[in-house]
Amino acid sequence: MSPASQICGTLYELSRTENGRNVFLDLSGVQVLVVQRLEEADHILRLNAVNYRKNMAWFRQGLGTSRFSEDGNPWEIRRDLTQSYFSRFDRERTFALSEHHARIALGKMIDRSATGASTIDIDVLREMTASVLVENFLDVKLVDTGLDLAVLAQIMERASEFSFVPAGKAGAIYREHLAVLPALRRQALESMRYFRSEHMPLTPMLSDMKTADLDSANNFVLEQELMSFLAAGIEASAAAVSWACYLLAANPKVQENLRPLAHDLWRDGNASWHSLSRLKPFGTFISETLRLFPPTPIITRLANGPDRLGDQDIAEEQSVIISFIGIQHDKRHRADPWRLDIGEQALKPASGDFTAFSFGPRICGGKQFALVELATFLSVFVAGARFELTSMEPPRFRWRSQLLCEGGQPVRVLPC
Amino acid sequence: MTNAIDEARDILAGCLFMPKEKIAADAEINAIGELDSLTFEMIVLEIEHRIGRTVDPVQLLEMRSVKDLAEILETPA
Repeated sequence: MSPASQICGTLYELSRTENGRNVFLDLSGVQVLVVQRLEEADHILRLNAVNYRKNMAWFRQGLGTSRFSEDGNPWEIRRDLTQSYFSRFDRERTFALSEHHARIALGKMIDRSATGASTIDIDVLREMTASVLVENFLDVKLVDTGLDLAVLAQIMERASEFSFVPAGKAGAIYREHLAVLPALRRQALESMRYFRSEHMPLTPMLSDMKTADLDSANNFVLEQELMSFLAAGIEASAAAVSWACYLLAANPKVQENLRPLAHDLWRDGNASWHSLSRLKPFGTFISETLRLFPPTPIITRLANGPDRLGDQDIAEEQSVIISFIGIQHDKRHRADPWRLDIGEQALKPASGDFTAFSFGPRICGGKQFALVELATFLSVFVAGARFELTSMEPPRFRWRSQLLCEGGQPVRVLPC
Repeated sequence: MTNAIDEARDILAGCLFMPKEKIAADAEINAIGELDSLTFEMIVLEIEHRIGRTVDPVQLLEMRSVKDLAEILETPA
């Protein structure tokens, strides 16, 4: 494994050995401050956000310029362009789409387990989340777009290798990743041709994006923005669902407690987001999944100027990693932060549904959408299948711009 | 030269993640997209892969436009 791919394992280790403390870490020769306390994260991401710019060159390297990678005016232009669509989506429609595609995915997972597979195929989950995202916001079926999800995943994989490479210091081991990126990007551009074609339905969001693309003054490129939109919406949700499956399997009693609620929800054919949103255990389970295994485990920032964080002086250009892994496993907030708890503990500070989407002015724009689809996926999965562990080994982590389980989630899916 | 221009646009499409149709034959590279150190290295790797040899550093330093890139591709070994 490369140094970059091991970062998640390192952060989980730090959350145990340096629990509740911010620590410096040497990453590729750079002293990086790893923030593991909610207080200082709040200072950086919200209270003094103006002093900390994004350090997302690696994301831009893979996926191009977008609202995820940019700061200042370029970020504001992109946020204003899309945020209203992410905030004002039709919850019931998202619920219906999520149910439909969760049932398809569940069938595939059951079939795969029946053939003897001992892990969950994350590509099935990625197709599910991609289908919901594309249909929800772009009003077209994924299969009609020609989008190549494998190319997207490969670009994310290659880009993540640059996550901790200081500017101008890409050595020989990174040349291989650099050498393959242009070909992958050309494939990605080709697979997104449909979005520029006259056959593509012109939804309000796409229409606004195309208008911005024609304005050379703002450096907006439709494909780059779409790519980041897809990467964030597909990959993060798929990673979250994969960890939810793992936690269901690892906590059979919790799974059994959720099942009758799910059966009741789906029994009479009148299920709705309105009814699911009132079933607190589903929301809490999702929040705990995001707390224990945050799909986006880190946010990186650079200090524009000197600052003081707790008892620590921060120098200009100090590199900072906000570790949601560390923050969400802080023992000051929970007696046993490594244990799934869908009771009162889940409501304490640093809960997954609050911190895992970041906070402050750059909070994840798709947070509400993600919470609706994740709860719906979970309710369909629990109602239709049992999840069992195929290995008792603790998870090994892999960083691919998201927190993934190395080798795939060791879970078998059985019909019930 | 036409083929070299087309190939230069192809290289830049991949390296700058820009649809080829948006890259004019007479464009300045800096005007197409942001050119940071990693992107520049990507362009060099792409050129070298296509021509099968290393590129004269002076030519790289003077490369400003699609046309300059095409000329590098056409430079005899």
